[in-house]
Amino acid sequence: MFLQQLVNGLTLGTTYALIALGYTMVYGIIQLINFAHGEVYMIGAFVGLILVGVYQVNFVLAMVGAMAVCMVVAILIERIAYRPLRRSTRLAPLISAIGMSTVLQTGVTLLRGGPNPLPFPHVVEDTVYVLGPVQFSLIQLLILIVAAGLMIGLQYIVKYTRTGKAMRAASEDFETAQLMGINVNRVISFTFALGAALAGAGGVLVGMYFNSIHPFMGVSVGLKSFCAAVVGGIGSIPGAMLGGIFLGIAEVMGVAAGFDTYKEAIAFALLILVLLFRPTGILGHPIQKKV
Amino acid sequence: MEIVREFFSNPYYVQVMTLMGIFLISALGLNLITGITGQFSFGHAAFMSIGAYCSALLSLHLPLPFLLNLVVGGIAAALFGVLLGFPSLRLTGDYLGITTLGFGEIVRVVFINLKVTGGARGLAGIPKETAPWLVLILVLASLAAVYRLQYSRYGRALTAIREDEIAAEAMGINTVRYKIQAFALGTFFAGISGGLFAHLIQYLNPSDFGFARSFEILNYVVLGGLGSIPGTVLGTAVLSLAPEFLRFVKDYRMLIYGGLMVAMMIFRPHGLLGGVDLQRWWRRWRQPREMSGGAV
Amino acid sequence: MRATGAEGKQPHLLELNEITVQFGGLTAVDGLALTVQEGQIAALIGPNGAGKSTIFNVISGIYRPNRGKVRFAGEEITGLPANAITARGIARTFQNIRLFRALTVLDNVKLGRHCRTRAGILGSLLRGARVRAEEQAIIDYARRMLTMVGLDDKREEIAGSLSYGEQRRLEIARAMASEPRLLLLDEPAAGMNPQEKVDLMCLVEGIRRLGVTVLLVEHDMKFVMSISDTVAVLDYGRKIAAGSPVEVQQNPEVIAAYLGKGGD
Repeated sequence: MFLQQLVNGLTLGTTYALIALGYTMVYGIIQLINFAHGEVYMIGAFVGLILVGVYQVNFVLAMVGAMAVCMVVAILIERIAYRPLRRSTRLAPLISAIGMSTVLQTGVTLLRGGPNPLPFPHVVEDTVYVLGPVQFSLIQLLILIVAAGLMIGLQYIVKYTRTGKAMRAASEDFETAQLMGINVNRVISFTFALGAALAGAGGVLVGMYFNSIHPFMGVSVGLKSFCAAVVGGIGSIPGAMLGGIFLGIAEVMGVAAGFDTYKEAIAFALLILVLLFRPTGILGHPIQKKV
Repeated sequence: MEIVREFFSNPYYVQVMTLMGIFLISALGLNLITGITGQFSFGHAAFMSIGAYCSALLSLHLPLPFLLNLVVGGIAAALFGVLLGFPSLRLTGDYLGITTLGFGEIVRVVFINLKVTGGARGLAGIPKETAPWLVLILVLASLAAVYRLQYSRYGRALTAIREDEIAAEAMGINTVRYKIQAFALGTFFAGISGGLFAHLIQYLNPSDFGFARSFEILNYVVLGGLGSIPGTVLGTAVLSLAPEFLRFVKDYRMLIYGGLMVAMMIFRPHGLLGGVDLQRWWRRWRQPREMSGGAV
Repeated sequence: MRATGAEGKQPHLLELNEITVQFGGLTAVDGLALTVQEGQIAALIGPNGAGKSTIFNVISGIYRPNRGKVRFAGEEITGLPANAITARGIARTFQNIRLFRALTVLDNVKLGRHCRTRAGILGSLLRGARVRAEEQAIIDYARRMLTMVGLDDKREEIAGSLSYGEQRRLEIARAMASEPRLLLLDEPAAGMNPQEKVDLMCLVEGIRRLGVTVLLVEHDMKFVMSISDTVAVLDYGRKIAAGSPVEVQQNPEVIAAYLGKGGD
């Protein structure tokens, strides 16, 4: 039973991780909480639905399509709502982000014709594999494999490509990176796109997992994934992965332990605990105060 | 004059204005925390709900006078506000913002679960105690209070904390104490406004006080101009009355709000009246006469 | 305040003992000992990165030293929060100018007076006679400070709109508003033209005549040598020389430290 919950938690957690990565990468470079990121995830789910439902594509193409659209959306969001505010106070980009997320939520609601959930068709069979005391559904397996693949791909990009190095440089010292000739605008757009791709994939996967999507699905999941990113250590990519998985497991365990009505609060409770006792998160780096 | 009389005899308009006044009180509290003291607070509605539920439960179960219940609700909210003040000592900016947001969500979830507050179905049957004239008096009292606080040694210290916390400490300001007090004061206002809300609408539901509501109140303050009291009044008036005029685009309302926030931040982040210090204009206007009148 | 032995004047107004400050692997200040007598104008000089501002931050309570003690007027103040240190009579300016830029010139100085006044929440709300009198006294004292630095006619300007030199003077007025016994000036002459520097020297002398002890950090050698009674030279976080300006200027180690780094 415990192992089964662990598996379920792991699956849920990897979806949180996929979204958390977007938050952490963006925050690492421009110290912005991209509130609209949850909506990018939601848009990914809807694009996946359209591709699968209307155009009858297979699961892989649906994911790729969703990822592509999400990348474009994220780049546009950054251009419109964040880039003009790069030099302003801390509060302005936050409010702009929340405003943007509201725009996207309502926009999709209007396009879809209402806030009600839409069913997500079954793209893969409902096979269940049994391994000892544990059951894996095919979907769960798919989520784990795809997410792992994407995260490995992300690590590769960040560690071994030129843009990845530029990302890391900008995240460590934005000004110096600029002085070194790095085109920070492009790096930032690239970072948004990467995070969005992962979130979009996550949207499709979750749509397949729960067979249902709705325009406000990004709100709760977005906030929780952000909590996961902070818990793992904001700005740290392994931290986001760890935080996401940790949160997923914590949530599933919490429900299993009887706290199901408090489920939504688990993420925030963890967030507050971590911020009070280990503000840099599990894997984060402490920030030195210079006067 | 006839128009005014007609206006106020229409119960619907009166209700709208009363609600506006209630949210103005809450917004003034948020302005104190975020606008004047510079502490991000994204869970302000949660304190309204604490005040609302507290005073409502008192009204429903104990034969105490309404005003007392109202004040107790405010104090209850303030106690939790103090609780939130402590993270503000260790966290700044964004981190404080999300902590307050998280706190707001936790409060909401807790209220959904508590039996005594009616859980997800909410609390009904609250006696109607909130009269428009009461709200008007409290609005005026709140305005006077925050105005006096802002333009005093105390308010200067809060503003100093917002401008530069390290320099504020160097002035001898105990930022710890002041920040916690700012949260306590601001959330007290929220609690009072929550109690007024409960006894007007006569029904409370936890989802009325989630992040969306907190963001709405934040919009009131930001639109008007953070730190500006007349700004908060203007922002609250515009945004709470706008739905009445935008009724025909009801479905697009949130879309417009969101877009408005984005546009405001890009083109006028100080808000409509931010950076407009009426007192200073007044003093500057008087100053040349002093100069020519006598020696300095 | 604690007296050691008899009541009355302590031997040193400010005393630093074995102060060590480390940031991660970097030792910014290494076993520093320093004393300042009441009524002196003392200077801390040294090449960039020698740890001078760090020492100011330790004295004023922004940093806690890894080792060592700070004594002020006989009382140990190591590790006290910055606001408590200001209340005890040490005020400072900042190398990077930390004015309250959105506030008026007058408000900035009024804030300097914060630790010598009392009105709280209740006082601000009720505005009784005592509070109003206190507020007027604050304004009067603040304007006296502004007059001392020559900025009273700009008191309603927004602090951020002042010129660089004016902002530096404003910071000094603000620090003086707290009636300090010891004033720490962090590179007060930075960015000033020669005339402004002369005016600043007069100002600092005027401050000393008011009975305030001054400890300053400065890069401008002429400025330091003309105005200081005693100079301490730092290099790599250690004191390499101390004494009168003349003595220090002739010290071979000091010369080596400066010439080795390209001098001033």
